[in-house]
Amino acid sequence: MLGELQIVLSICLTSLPIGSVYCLLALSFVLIYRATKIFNLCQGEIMMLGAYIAYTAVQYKLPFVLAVVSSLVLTTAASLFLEKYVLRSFVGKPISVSIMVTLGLGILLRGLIGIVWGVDQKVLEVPMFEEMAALPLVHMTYGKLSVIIFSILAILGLEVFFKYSRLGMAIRATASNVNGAMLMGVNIWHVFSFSWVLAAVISAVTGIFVARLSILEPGISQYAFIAIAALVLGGFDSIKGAIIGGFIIGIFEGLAVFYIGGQSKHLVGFVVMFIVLMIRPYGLFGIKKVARV
Amino acid sequence: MASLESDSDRVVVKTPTSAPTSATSAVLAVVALIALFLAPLVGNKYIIFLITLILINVISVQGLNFLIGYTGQLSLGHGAFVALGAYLTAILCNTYSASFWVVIVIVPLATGLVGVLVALPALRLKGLYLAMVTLAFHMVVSLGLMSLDDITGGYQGMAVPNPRLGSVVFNTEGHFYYLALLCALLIYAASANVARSKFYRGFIAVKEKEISAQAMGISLWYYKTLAFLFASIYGGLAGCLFAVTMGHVTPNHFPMMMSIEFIMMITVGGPGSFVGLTIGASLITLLPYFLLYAVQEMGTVVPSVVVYFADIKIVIYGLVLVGSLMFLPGGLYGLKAKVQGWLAK
Repeated sequence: MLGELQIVLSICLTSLPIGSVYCLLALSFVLIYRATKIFNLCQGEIMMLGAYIAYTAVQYKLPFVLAVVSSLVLTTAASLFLEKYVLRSFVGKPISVSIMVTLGLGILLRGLIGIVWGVDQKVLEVPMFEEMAALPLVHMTYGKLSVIIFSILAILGLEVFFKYSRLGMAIRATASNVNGAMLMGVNIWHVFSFSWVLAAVISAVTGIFVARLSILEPGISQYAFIAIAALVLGGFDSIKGAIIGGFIIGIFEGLAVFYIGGQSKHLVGFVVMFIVLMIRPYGLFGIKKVARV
Repeated sequence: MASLESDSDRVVVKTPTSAPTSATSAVLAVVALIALFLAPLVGNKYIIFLITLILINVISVQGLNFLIGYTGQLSLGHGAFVALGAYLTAILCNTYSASFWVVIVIVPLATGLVGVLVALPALRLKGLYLAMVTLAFHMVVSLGLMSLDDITGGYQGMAVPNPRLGSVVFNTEGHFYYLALLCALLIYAASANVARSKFYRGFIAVKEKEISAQAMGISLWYYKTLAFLFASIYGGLAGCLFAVTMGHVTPNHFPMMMSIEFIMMITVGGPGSFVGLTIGASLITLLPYFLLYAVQEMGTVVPSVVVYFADIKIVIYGLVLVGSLMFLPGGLYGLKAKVQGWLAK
């Protein structure tokens, strides 16, 4: 019995890196959705773009830090472009329209990435990623450790940012009531742009981690769909929900692979999503909306 | 600036139209019908095959229209019903050697049943959640088609035997064309009837404002299930025709992109109108064939282009989908009203 418990615990631990990835992706969905009420289905492709830009920078023999910075800058620029010239005209439209638009942008980006970088598998060189961490009690590579640390830092950073900074407060105000925020003098266009920037930065870094944890190919945008399952579990408008949902899905995947088999991995997210939607459609932490006429 | 409050139940486009009524459009419809019936006598095989595909897509996009156009429910998994219809046809005709004429009746009913089952969780959901569930449904169906290989033949797919009617074996493009044309006309008639019934008014009420509809005694549960039922019956029929026209089904025939293509047909043509849907279905069905031709032509000058065909295709798809939503609210059919507005000034 103790052996069983130990196995489960160790699976939970080894699922932490992938859980962090889902958590970060789910966060970038929530950040945009809460502020702009647009659900950005092309977030997975934006993440992939970050990974590919970093790959090219590394190919050009740039130091790794510079590669990450250039990936952040370019991904943010691309994101801002999409926000400003495409999605801004869909703010306030029905959510189904923005879903269709971002779905279209997603396949557009996937095609462009395919044309620029090709569809073959690539290896993104990250220094020290595969080395075992020289820390007591932690049996993990530096790469996996850094994903977990980055996700914790991102969560804490966002928490502090939303609580104490002016812009963070403006974002929260916009999330709770756009018209009210506008009347109070919040420049909502800045809020929208900044939400996209935050999401792009988080996604780009996540993309680099994903590219190294699995392999760099156009298929990695699929991670975003599993992150959506995490979102459904946590509730679409809750940051706390996104974090917990991400880790839970990661752990469920690890357990399913161990107890059922590797094939079941892809289905875990969907099964969880179906069950949650049947029982608690607004998620664990989402707000149950009461419709008023 | 108008209010930014997002009003998630508002309509995308308000152009509910029924069958053509004026004299000129009646004449146009008759001319088009005669042309369609005579087409196999003059057109070559390839063109007839393409028109058959258009007719099949017209059927399934009219199904999706019950959800997106009328009831305002976004389904990203309509292709899954087409896939189910096609595979059921293949399995029944091939493995159980059932008669095609029985199968073509059973299959839409069976996919309709699946549609109702999908609708059950979907009833509590709308907008984002519904889109995610239907997207997941398509992915699960695709995974199922590939992994249940002792039933579906896995990646190889399965063959669909040619149907026979008495001593006539259906095996030419012309045969399948007339079969699809007959079904498409029946479907037009059925849709036109629905568009004049209380069902249509119920659908529109659900789309316009769910709460007001409920307050007026319209059961959301009933009308949403009905919309899903109609959509999946149409999808299943289209899948059945697709399977028998191709003579072979594989999982590759029904990628995620198929569901997106159906959405493009609606956004390009215009939701809610039969003419718009027909235009959209024709353009989007022909788009990949046109692109293939264009890329091959370009390939004679710049050979490397051909390698990128798959990527060029989805870039164009993305541009068409985003562009139609940005610049053509109401689709191409919606332009008609605009032009008339300008002329009236």
